[in-house]
Amino acid sequence: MSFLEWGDEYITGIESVDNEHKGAVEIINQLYELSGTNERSHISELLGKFYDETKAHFENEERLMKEYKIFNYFSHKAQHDRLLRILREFISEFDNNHKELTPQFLNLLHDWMINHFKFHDGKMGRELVEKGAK
Amino acid sequence: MFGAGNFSLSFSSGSGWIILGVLILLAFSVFYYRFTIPPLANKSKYTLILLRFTGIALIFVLLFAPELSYVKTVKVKPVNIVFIDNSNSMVRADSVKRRKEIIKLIKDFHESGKFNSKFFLFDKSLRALNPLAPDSLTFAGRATNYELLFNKIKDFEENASNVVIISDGNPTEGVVPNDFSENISVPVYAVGVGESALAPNVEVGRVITNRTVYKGEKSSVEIAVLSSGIESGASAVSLFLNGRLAGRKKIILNSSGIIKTRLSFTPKKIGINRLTVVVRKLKAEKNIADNRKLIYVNVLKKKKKIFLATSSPSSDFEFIKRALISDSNFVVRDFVEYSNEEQISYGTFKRETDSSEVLFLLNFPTAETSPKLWSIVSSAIKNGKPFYLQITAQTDLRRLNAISEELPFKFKSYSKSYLDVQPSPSGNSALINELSGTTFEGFWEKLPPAEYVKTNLFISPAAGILLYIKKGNEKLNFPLMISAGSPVKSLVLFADGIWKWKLKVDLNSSMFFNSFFINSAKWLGNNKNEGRVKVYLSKSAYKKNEKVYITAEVFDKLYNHAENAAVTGLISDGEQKFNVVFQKEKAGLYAADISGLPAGKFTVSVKAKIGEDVVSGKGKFTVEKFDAEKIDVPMNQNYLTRISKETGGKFIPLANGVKLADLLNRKSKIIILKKKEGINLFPSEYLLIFIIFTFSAEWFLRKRKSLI
Repeated sequence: MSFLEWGDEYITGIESVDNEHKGAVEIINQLYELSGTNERSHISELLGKFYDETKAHFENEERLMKEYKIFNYFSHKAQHDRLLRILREFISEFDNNHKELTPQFLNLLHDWMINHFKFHDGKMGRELVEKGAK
Repeated sequence: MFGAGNFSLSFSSGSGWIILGVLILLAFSVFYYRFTIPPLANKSKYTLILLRFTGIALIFVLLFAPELSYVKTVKVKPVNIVFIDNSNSMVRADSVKRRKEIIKLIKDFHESGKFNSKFFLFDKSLRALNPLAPDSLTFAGRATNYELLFNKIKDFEENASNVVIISDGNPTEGVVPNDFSENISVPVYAVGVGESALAPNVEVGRVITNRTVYKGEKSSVEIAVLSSGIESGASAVSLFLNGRLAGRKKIILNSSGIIKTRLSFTPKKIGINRLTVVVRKLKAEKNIADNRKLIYVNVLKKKKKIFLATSSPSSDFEFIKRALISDSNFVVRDFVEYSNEEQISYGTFKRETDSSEVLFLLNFPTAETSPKLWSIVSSAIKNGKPFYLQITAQTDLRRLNAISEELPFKFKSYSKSYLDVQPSPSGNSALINELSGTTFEGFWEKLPPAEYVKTNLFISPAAGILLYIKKGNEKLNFPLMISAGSPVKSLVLFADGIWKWKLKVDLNSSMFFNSFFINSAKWLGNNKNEGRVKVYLSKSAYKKNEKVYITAEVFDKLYNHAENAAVTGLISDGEQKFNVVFQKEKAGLYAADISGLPAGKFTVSVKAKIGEDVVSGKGKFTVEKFDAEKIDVPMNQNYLTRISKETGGKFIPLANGVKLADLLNRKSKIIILKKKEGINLFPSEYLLIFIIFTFSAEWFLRKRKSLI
């Protein structure tokens, strides 16, 4: 009954990437659990953690894509940059008490993750596995 | 009573009378043989006296129902009676483990016991169990009947030293005594099976929301969260609309077991939308099937589209258009036909006509109306499009024949002349009050006169007259306004110049004019097939002891949520009937609940009274056959402890069952039983034979001595 359920269809076949994806899913579910509460400091802490881990994860993916010369590197990176920008803006607004952790924002993360896992990372994973990455 | 040692003799009457009688009989016997002819020797005389006295004394004594009894003392070995609950509730939570534990306990108890034990299984019936063949211990019993068990204890003929009950303490059948100590004379050792407390659980209870909502309009959902097995704690309720998170709220559970909260959603999709309420699982919660509830809401387009068409512009047209535009629930499109046919976009006209929910036709069709336009409009009406038709002198009545089947009247005759009249409401039409928003008597007569088109009509049976005409003080029997619900919903007004009704400001008629046409458009736009009372059940099938939650959504004539309706319900399975009264939850939503219904298929008929208007709706649900043993209830430790305490025994949890054998061995004692046995001497055949013998012997001796 999690907000964002991890499924086998999201497995890329690259162990480090999959572990980082699972970590991101876990944090989004924790954010979902905290939504609707007044625990702003906890939410802020978790949002910071999510941003840091997502940034590190994107860097890992981008490094792998460059190393193995994956075809859609630039469009994939643009997706990453877009999410990081959204997260930065949201965290800044949230920390200044201008925004709440709303269902809309959680839905955005939910949809972004599912689409990105399925259509970008899945494709990237297949190419990386074909090229011998682990 | 005479007694000697362990023997005793008792009579039905006082022994003093018997002694007196016996002495009299002795005196009679002596007196009888005092002198005999021929005289006898003393030996023979005393023998005859003895025989006579014995015979008659015995007969006399027998009249007092003598009973000879004796008490014998026996040593009886103690027997432990072990009752094992074989009902299904014993192993609901963990069947394999519990079954193993219980069988082990029985075997250990049987093998280590110093004294005899008798094992019985009980559920719906009671039967003996061979403890070495515990396969008959199925835990499939459909009931737990403690009455059988108590009866068995009372009737037990052997030395019942202790009683052991291995059970979860939840009787579901039979009558159990209030005072165990009075009914059971031996100590009861209760071995409790199961968890002693309810497992923590939260569930989504009643969810109340309007089942008909409008696109883009925020709607609230009232949610009741039920909790059990937990004194306090935090949880959260989420609301998902079509799988998307719409809202979330933290809740603090408390010992009351119910928390109400409110979330909201804004539907974006027209049609049936799925709302899911999810309550967060507790840490130790096992049953999460009830943490989620799904309901459906019907999302309607927010605004009704109204299409006004005229072939000849008029003040009435403009005023009615403005009135309709003033209501934000309408999207109003209008069409004014000009003579230059080349400029008319028939495609647009058709689109507007077909996409609108209500048509307003003023001065349409006239003699100049384009046949194509009239064809589009008449086809739409023939296809069931509701319409408002204002018949003026410009209206070409002959062309109305194209929709003669859909019109609520037929012309007998008509003229193109006008008559200045005032409206006068028909006394029996509640609809006119609903449309005008007033029941003020005399209101209509105070409106400025309108120009009435003289007609002579046949009113169709499905139609109703809303307004008559009034000329001066005389109310004339000519209809000014007619309504019909079928075959097409329609309102027809035979008047021109009604814009003047707006001028009568002293009666707030400015507002009246607007609301009259807004309400008319609403009435026309309501789908006649949709009921005004919608009945929703929280689910379609209930368990027998489960509460049935019924919600009724009630609409007034204009399909607004009814604010103050008196709502009652009748629940019936064809044979039995149950009444419920609904309480208002919010505007248009009324709720009731009922529990304890028998198993069966039920229909709930809901009747809502809105003023004088009575509307009804129906719903259906099933109450399934109840299987008490299927309900996951905790062990009733209080009950088992009470039986044990009141009888001088002890409560032992199953986990400590190994101690049971030792405990009972210490408590079991050989008892010395004094058993009383008695022989009823009347009618004792041996005694009767003896009496006959005494009389026979006496007769023989008398014969020998020549006395007879």
